[in-house]
Amino acid sequence: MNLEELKSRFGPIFETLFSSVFIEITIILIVIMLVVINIQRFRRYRIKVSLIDLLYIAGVNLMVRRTRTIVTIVGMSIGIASIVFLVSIGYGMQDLVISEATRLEELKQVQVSTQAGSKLRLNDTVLADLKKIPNVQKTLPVVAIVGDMSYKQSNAAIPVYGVTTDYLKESAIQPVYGELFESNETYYEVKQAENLTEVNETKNTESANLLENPVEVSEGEEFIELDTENTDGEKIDVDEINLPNTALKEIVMNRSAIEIIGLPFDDAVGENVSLAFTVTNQHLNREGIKVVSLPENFTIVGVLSDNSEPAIYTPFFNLRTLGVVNFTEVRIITDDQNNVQRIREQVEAQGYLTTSVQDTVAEIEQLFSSVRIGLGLIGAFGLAIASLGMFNTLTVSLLERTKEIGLMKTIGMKSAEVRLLFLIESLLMGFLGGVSGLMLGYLGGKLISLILTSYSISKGGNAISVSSIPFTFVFLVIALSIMVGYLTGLFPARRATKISALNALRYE
Amino acid sequence: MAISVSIPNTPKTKKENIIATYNLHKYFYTGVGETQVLHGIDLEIKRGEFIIIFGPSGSGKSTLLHSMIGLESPTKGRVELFNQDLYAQNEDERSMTRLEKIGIMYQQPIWVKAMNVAHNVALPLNLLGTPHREAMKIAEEKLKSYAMDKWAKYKPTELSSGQQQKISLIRALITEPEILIADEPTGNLDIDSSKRLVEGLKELNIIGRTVIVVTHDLQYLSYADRTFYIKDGNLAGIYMQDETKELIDDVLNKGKSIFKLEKTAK
Repeated sequence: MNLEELKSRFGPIFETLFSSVFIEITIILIVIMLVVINIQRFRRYRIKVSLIDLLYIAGVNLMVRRTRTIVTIVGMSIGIASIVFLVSIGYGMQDLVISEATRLEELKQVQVSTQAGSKLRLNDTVLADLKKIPNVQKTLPVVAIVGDMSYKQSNAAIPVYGVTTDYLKESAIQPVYGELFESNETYYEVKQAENLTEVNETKNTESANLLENPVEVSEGEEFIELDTENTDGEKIDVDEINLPNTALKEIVMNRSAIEIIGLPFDDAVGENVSLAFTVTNQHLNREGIKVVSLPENFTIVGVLSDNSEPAIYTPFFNLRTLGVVNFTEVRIITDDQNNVQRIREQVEAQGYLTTSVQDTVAEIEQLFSSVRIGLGLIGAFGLAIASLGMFNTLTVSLLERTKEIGLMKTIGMKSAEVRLLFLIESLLMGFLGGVSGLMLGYLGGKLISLILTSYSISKGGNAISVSSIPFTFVFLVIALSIMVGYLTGLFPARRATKISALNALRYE
Repeated sequence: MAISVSIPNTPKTKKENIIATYNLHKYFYTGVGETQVLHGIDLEIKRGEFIIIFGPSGSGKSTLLHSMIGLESPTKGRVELFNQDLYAQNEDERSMTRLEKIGIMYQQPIWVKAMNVAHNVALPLNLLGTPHREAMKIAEEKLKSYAMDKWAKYKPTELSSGQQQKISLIRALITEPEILIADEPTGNLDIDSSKRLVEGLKELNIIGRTVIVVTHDLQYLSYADRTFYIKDGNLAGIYMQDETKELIDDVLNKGKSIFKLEKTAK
C-alpha cells in the first residue's frame, strides 16, 4: 500500500480528527458530560453540605496557602496563555489573509452562471426572478464577449465585459486615472419599442424579432448580412450591425489590455481606440448566428491598475443593442452575508451554478484551522507542564491536611463530599488560571500587534492586527481550563477520600 | 467552667441502651502477623450516663471507642448504636449518624486551619446542610453563650490550648448531639483547666446528655456514673461511682489487682 493510497483512505479521518470544530465540540461535550456525571453523583450520594460552604472551605484553603496557590495559578495561566496566544495569532493571520483576499462587500455577493452545455439561460426573466428572492438587493448582469481592438498599427482580440456602473462599483473596480462610465441601463428593447411606431411594437419588443428583421431597426443603422462557414463546415449567419446613436461609446481598460495595444499607461485616458464586438449565438436567442459590430471609435474614460488578464469594460447597454439576451453571469448583491448560503441553495435548486468568495474564505479557514491546531498543540505542552505543577500542589496540600480531612470525616463528612471539596479546589485553580491565562494571552497578542503596527507605521504602512480571539474560543478556553482542573484534581481528590478518619483521633 | 446548655428533650432514663457492644473482637493484621486488640468486649451504655473508659496506654480503649462511633469495623461481634446494628449501615450512613447524634472532642484540638473560630464551630452545621447564614448565626450565639465570642474571628491555632479545647467542646455541641464523646480531653491541659473541663462535661451530663470520656487519668474517675476498665483488650471491670476508690487501689497495686479485678468483673 503506497502513500497515496494511505492518504486517500485515512486522509478524511485525519482531517476530521484534526479539524478545530471537531476538537471544540469534543472538549465542550466532555465538559458537559463531566458536569452531568457529577450532578448525578451529587444526587446519588445525597450530598448535604451546600456548594457555597464547600466553595468557602476550598477558597479559604487556597487563600491561606496564598503564595503556593498564586504560583500554581500563574503556572496554569502561562500554560493557557501560550495556547491562547498562539491560537489567537492563528486566527489573526487568517483574518489578515482573508481581508487581503477578499473585501467585506464581496462576502455578500453571489455569482450565478450556467453549466456548460446546459439549456438554462440567464435572461431578463431570470434576472427578474432572481431579484424576487428575499434579501436580494441587486441583480447585476454581465456579458463577456470578444472585442477586436485596434490603435494605430496594433491589433488585438481582447475580452470585453458588458457591465453596468453599479457592477463596477460593487466589484470595487476603481480607475487609477480617469473615471467610470455612467450607464446603468440594461433594457434596450423596451426603449426601442417606445421610439418605434405602434405597428412595429410587437415585433421589436423581443430581440429575436430584431435579429430576424434587422432592416426594421432603422435609426440610420447600416445592416449587412454575410454568410460564412465556421470550422465545422456548419453554416453560420454573420450579421454586421452598427451601434445605435444612444450607445455610450466609452470603455474602461486595465493595464494589461492597454499594454497589449501599445498605449502609454499614464496617458491612455481620453484616447480613442477602434473597437468591434463579436457576439456568438450563446448570447443570442437564435442558433447559427453571430453578430459583429462594425468597428467604431471608443473613448478610454478610465484605466485600471490591475495587470492580470487583459480586460475591457464597456456599458452593458452597448452589447444589448447588438441583440444580447442571454448573459454570461449575474452577480447577486444580498443585504447580509449570512443570507448568502440560503440564496445560493435557492438558486442552485433551479439548476444554476453559483460561486461566492465565501468558498475561498472557507478554504482559507480550512487551512488555518489546521495551522491553529498545530499551534494549539505546541501551547498544550505548556498547559501539560502547568497541570503537573497543579497536581503537585494539590498532593502536597492533601498530605498537609490529612488530620483536617480526618477531622471532617469523624464529624460526619462523606467521602463524596471530601472528593468534591478537593475537586472544587482544583477546578477553582483551573478556572482562575484559565481566566488570567486568557487575559495574558490576549495581551500578548495585542502587544505583538502593537509592535508590528508601530514598525509598519514607521515605514508608512497601516496598522496590523495579527491576533484575534473569536467569542467561541473564549468559551472553549474556559471549558478547557475547567477540564484540565478537573482531570488534574481527580487523582488527589480520590486519594483524599481514602484518608482514614482515624488520623484525627490518633495522637502523634 | 460556667456552662449553659440547652436541654435535650429526652428524659434522663437509665433503662434505654444508647450504645452496646456484643462480643466485640478487633484484630489488626500487620507484616509480622495478627495483633489482637480487643477480645470480645460486651458492654452497654444507657441513655444519660456519664461513662469513663479507663485503661493504660495500649489497652485497646481507643480502638473500642473508634468501633463504637463507626470508624473501626470490628473483626467479630456487633456494635449497636440507638439499638441499630452500626456496621450493617454503609459508610455514608454511619457518617450521617455521627454528624447528627455524636459530638466528639479530640485529644488534640484539630481545626480546619484556614478557617476562623466561628467557621470551625459552624462546620458540623455546614455538613448537615444548614444554610450558611443560619449556621453562622447559631455558631456565634453558641460562642457567646460560652463567652468565647470575642475570639470568633481569630484562627483557632492563635488561641491557648485551654481556649482551643473549650472551642473544640463548643464545636462538638453545635449540632446538639445526644452523645458527647471526649477522647483524652485533658491530655494537653494543666490540672486546673482539666478539672474545670471535666466539671463542665459533668454539668452537660446532668442536664441530660450521654457523655463518654476516654482517659488514662485516674483523677476524674469519681465523676463517672460507671467506669469501664479496659486492660489488654478485655473489659477488666465495671465500676460504679462509689467503687472508684477500689479501682484506683487495684490499678495502683498491680500485684494484687488481677485476681480481685476479675472477681469484680463477674
